Amino acid sequence: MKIINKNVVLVALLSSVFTFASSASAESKASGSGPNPYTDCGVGATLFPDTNWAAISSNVIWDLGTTAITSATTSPNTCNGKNVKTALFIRDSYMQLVEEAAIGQGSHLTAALNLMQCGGAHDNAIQAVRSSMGQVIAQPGYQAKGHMEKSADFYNVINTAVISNCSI
Amino acid sequence: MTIRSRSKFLAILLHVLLISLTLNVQSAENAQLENLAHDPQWFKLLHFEKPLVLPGEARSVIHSDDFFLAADGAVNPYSELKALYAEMDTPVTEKDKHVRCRFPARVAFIEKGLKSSSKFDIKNNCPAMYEWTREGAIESISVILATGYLGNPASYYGHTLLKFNEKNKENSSNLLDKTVNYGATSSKGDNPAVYIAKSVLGGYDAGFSNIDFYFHENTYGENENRDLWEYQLNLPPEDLKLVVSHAWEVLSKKYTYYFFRQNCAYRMADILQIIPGLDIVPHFRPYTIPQTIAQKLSDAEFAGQPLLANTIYHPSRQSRFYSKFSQLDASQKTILKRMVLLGVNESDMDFLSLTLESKYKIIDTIIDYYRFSSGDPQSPETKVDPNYYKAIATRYKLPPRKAQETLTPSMSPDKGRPPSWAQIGTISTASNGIASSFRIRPAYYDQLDSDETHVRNAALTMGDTQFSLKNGDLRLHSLDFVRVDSANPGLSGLPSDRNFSWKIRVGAEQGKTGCLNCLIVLGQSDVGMGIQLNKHTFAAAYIGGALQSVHDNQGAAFARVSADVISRFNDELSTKLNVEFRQGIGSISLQKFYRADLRWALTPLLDVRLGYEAMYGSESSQTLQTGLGAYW
Repeated sequence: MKIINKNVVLVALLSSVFTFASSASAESKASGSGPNPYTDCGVGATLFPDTNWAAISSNVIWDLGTTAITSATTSPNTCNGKNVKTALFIRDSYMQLVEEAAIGQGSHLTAALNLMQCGGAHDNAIQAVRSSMGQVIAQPGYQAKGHMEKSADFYNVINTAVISNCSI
Repeated sequence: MTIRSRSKFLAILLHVLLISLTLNVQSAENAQLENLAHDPQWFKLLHFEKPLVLPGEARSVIHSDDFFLAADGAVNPYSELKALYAEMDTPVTEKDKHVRCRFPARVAFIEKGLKSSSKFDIKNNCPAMYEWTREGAIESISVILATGYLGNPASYYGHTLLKFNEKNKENSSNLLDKTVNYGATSSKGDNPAVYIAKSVLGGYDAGFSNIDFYFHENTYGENENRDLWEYQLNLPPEDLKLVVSHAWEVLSKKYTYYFFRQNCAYRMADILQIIPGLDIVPHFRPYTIPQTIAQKLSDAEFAGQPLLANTIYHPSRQSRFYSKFSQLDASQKTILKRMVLLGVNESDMDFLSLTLESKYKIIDTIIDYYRFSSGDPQSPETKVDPNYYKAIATRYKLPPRKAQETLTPSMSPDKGRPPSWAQIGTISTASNGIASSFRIRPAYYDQLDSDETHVRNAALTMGDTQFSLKNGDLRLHSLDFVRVDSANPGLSGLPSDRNFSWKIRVGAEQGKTGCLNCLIVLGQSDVGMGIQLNKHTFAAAYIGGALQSVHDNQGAAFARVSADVISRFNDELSTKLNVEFRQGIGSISLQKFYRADLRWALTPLLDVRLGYEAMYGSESSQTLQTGLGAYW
C-alpha cells in the first residue's frame, strides 16, 4: 500500500508540474530521464486496481487499459495514445520483455518496438535495449523496486533505444 | 371537352398515375423490408432468441437501449428494421454517431437485401469504427481456446474468445491483434459460492470487451499457466468483414450471463454464426463447453472448404518450464536444483565449467521456474523471488541466443473425446445381489479418462447421476452435483512445484457400502499433497472431512485421511487405487475403505470400467460395479 500511495502522490505532483510545462520543455529533457507515461499520464494510478478473485478470472471483463488510454489521450505528447499504449503494454508484459531482451529477440519486444513506431530493422534497437537493461537490472536495489518502477525503467530504456536506433 | 379542360384532365391523370406508381414502389419496398425483417440473419443480427424454459415470443437477449433504434426494437424486428432503414441516408451530423457507423453489419444486410449500395465515407464519418476494422487490414479471424483452470469455478471448462488477425507486416506480432471477449461484468466482491449461484441463475450482466491479445496471453499463459490454442478460420472476405462489423455492433452491449448454456463459448459462437450457414454450437444440450466448439470448428466445412485453416499452440509458462526441465540431463538438473535451493550463483564452479549451451538451458529453465511459480507480478500480494532477477542478470551476461525451442503438444483440444458420458452396467453386493446400473455424466472428465486435453490426474464432473434398478425398483444411487479433484503434477519437485492438491464434492451417495437404499446428501472437501512418481503414476495423500445427512447412525459429519494412486499405463488402460480411514463425529467407530477402479478404453468413444469398494468397521461389506460407457 505504501507503494500505491507513493505513486498516487507522485502522479499528483508530477501532473501539476506537467500542467505548467510546455511540450517543448518536456521533449528537451535528456532521453531516459522522463517524463514518461507511468508518472505523467496516470497509468501508474491504475496499476493496482481493487480486484478480487472473480475480477481476475477469465470470464470477467477487464478494461483498465482502455480506461487509462481514454483518460490519458487528452494530454498531448507524453500522454498521447501511442505512449500510453506502450506503457500499458510494458506494464502487462514487463517480465516477458526483460527476458526477451536478455535472449536477444522475442514477440513482445517486437510488439513494443512496433508500438513505438520503430521503423526498419529492429536488430540495433534490441541490441541497445539488451545492453542498457543488462546494466539496469544489475544495479543494487533493482530487485527491491516495485513492478511499476521496473516497468517505467524499461520504458525509458526502450524509448532511448528507439530514439537512437529507429527511423520513426 | 375544351383544350383547357382536356389538359387539366391529363394533368390529373398523370398525377394519379404518379401517386399510384409511388405507392406501388413504396408498397413493394415495404414488402421487401418486411421480408428482410423475417430473414433468420436479421434475427441473428438483433440477437433474438426464444425463451429457454418458459413459453413466449422471441426477443433480443441484449438489453442495452442503445442497441435499438425503434422503441419496440427489442421485441419487434420489423419495427427495428424500418427504423434503421429510415435513418440510413440521413445526413451526418456528428462523427461516429450515424447509424452506418453504429450498425455497419445491419446496414450491409439491408443493402444486400435491397440490392442497393452507398458511397458513405466510413473513414471520415466513422473514425472509431474505421480504426476498429484496422483500416481493412484484418485478414483472418481466430477462435482462441484457453484450457481449463481449476483455480476458479468460472474457468473450469476453459474459455473462448475471438481474435482478429491483422495482415502480416514486417516485424509484426500477433500480440497486438484485437480480441473480442465475452464475460460477466458485475461480479466484483462476490465470493465463489455467490458467484456460482448468480452465474448459474442469470444474476450477472455480461458483455463483450475489446482488448489486445497480449493481455489474454499474459493473463492465461503467464499468470494462470493455461495453454492457449488458436484456431484460425478459413472465411471468405465478405463473411470476415461481416463478423468484424457485427462484433463492433455488440461491443459493450449488455447481455445476461449464464454459466451453463449462454456462456462465453456460446456468445462467441453467436458472433461467428452471424454468417449464414455457419453452425458451430452443439444443439440439444443444456450447456456449452468451449472444447466442443473447438471440435465443431475442426470438423466443419464452409463454402466448400474446411473451416479450420490452421491450429496454433501458445504454450503456457508452466508448459514451457516443464518442457525445458524435461530436456535437462541429470547433471544439469543437479546444478539447477542446487541453484534453486541455495540461490542463483553465476560463480558456481560447476556452472562455470559448463558449455555455453548448458548454461543457456539451465538459466532459461530457472527463469521459467520462478516466473511459473510467482503468479501475477502486478498483484500487491505477489513477491517475485530475488533469484528470478539474479537468473535474468546472469542471462544478460551470456551472449544473446536467437534460437528458441518449440514445444509440440501431443494433442489439441479439438482432437479430444466428446465431453459427455453415459454408462450401463451392474452393481453387485453381498446383501442385495445384482442390480442394474444406469449412469449419465453431462460433463466432463474424471481421473481415469482425463486425456491430454484435460488437467491430468484431476477430475471435474457436474451432474454425474447413477440409478440402480432392482426388481423393478428404480432408485437414485449416487449424484455428484459438482465434484472437483485438483492435482498439480509437480514434475520438477522444486520447492514451489510441490503439488498442492485438493478435492471438493457436493452430492449424494449410499451411506453404507453395499446398500441400495441408504442415500445420504453430503458435502466434502480434502486438501493434500501429491507427487508424480514416474511417467505413469501419480500419488497423493489427503486430510479432509464432510457434512452429511444422518442415516442409520452414520453421523452428521466425519473426518478422514485418504490416499490415491493413479496410474495411466497408456491411452487405453488406467487405474486408481484409494484407501480411506474415516472417523465419524460422535459415536461412530473408525471405518476403513479400500477402493480400486479400472478403465479400459475400447475405442476413443467407448470404455469398460470395473469398480470395487470394501468397507470395514462396525460392519463390513463390499461392492463390485461393472459398466460399458459411451462418450457423446
